[in-house]
Amino acid sequence: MDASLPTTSGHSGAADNILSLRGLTTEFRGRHTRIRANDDLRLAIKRGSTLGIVGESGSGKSVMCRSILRLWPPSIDVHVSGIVEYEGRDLLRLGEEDMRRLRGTELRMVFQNPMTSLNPVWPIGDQVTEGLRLYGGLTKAAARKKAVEMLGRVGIPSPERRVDEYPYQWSGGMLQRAAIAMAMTGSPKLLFADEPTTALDVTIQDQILALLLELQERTGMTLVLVSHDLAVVAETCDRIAVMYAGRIVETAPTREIFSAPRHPYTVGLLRSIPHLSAGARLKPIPGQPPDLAELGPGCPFAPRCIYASPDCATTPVHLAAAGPDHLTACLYPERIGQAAA
Amino acid sequence: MNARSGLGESLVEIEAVAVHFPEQRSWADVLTAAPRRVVRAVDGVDLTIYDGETLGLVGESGSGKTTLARTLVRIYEPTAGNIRLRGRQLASYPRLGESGLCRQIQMVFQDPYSSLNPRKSVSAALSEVLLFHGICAPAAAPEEVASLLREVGLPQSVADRLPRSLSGGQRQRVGLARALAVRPAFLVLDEPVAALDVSIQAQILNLLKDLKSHTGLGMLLVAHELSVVRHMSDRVAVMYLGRIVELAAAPAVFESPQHPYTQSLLKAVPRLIPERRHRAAVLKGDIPSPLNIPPGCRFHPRCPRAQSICREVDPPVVSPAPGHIAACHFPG
Repeated sequence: MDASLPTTSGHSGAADNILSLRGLTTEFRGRHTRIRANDDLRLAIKRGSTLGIVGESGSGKSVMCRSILRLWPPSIDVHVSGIVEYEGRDLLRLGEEDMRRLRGTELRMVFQNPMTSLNPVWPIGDQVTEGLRLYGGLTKAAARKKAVEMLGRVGIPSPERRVDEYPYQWSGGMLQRAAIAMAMTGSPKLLFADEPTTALDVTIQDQILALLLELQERTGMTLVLVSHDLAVVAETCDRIAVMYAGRIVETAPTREIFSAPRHPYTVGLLRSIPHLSAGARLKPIPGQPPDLAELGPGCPFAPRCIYASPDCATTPVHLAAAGPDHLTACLYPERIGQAAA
Repeated sequence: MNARSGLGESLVEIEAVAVHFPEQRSWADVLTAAPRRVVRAVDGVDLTIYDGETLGLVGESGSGKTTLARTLVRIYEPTAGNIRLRGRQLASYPRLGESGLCRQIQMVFQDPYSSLNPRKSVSAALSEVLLFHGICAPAAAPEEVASLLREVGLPQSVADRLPRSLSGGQRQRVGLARALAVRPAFLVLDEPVAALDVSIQAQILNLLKDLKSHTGLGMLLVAHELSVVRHMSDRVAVMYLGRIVELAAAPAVFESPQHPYTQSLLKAVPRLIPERRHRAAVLKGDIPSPLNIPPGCRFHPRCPRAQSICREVDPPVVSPAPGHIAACHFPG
């Protein structure tokens, strides 16, 4: 399964995919430890689609985004390998200046905490249009006009008055709108939103999700939405990739993830979630996620898995077809059967 | 605002409680004689919690739910109103001693990473509580610690470990064991699972449910996550800008909410239904600042149902069904 990427979209044409990961691996090296925060990620993202990345803390979701966009500070000893193919180019082998240009225009990211992702001592309007001034050749006056327009588009009331304000003057929901406005200025083709609503209240989350989907429908951009919340991705994404211990363990169309999950971890997640409608006893996944520095050769979920056999701990497992448009990294997906949530 | 529903004796009675904080004044404020402003975090709450019940308190950030919870353990003192525990004023209880407040009410905090002393082992943290409050003799402490660990589902092997070597879920179990050590009558849980991952969250929620059925402890569960509150609570109170706007049995709040804020809150929660949403956001704008509470009904600037009366008159508390109350001019 090395050279030929398992296409996760129904169509097989590679041109349909805006981004393909082939064996993306991110390793952090300490003096005595090696931590594989992303291990051999294989994933294809269809142009114009919305892909949800779900997983718990430490599963490698944010690391994946940062490795794709090469957002690692030089102070961190990180080794990223594999191929990240974006529009026919391998991002990992692109020159730093070209990469910066892409990040300032068509490849954008919105971070989790809007309180810390904006510069506190810079007016919001200037931050929103920084990419355009650097890469779009906009004058200061034109940039300010553009900032007002963008802030208006993301629903900031009286943007012409607020464009010169500083982050401390805005609420979390408004700052996240500003961060989205900033990401939208370069007319992005691919937007990564890393837990964009996790720091926000539920009514504000609702506003931000509505905004992201509306912008996507208007511009046709591809959206990668990272979330720990299955419900958030359920109502926004076409496909879901589930991550565990630095790996993608399952990927399928959203409906199938919910109706016929084929990885025991996905099944466990679905059973752990309290529902709004009922008070039935939850079925938590026993144990806790593994220490990434101490992973064995086999399936990282095996110690917590109710379907596991002894060989699960020793046999390496890779994503393989579990249906026409469905991949799972499980040796015995048939054991799960139809046992959905 | 006491909607009884055939529950036990009243355990905690909160009566017209307000908790206000004066705003920090800068030199510029003093020099320009700017008016002294007040954060009305809790602004007139009536609530009764009965023996053995779990009352869920939901609301967005800034609603005052954590302030109310902290006032119940006297981290804050109410600016106005009364809080009674078993009919006796909270302020009249001694803090310590067998009938002291610390033995009656205990709190579990949101962040298990910062609420434990990093230099105390689990057994040291628990025996300190046991010995300080004279729950057991020093010789009996190890046995009592062991039984507490069993009660919260921790292996005996964690007793000698420091918090840093425990996972978030384990730490939260230690926090719970510490609260249970004094055998309190009432437990205040402030966002007990908000810092935990879903698979771990489910373990803690199940543990809390078991404790509830074994011990008959009264609990106030503060949480922003509606599904967590639904899962755990007998009754649910919804807070907005320092007031309780709706209170009823959990199924009534979730299945037939009467207050437009509760309805919006429920609609805003993403469902586990794999279908792309095609709807606008349910509420516009942010929760107003508690420094500057809107006149009339405090929800009116965001309310889809607001009329002119809502902008001027504080809404009455109405009871659309037995045991169900809502503070709205146009409930339903």
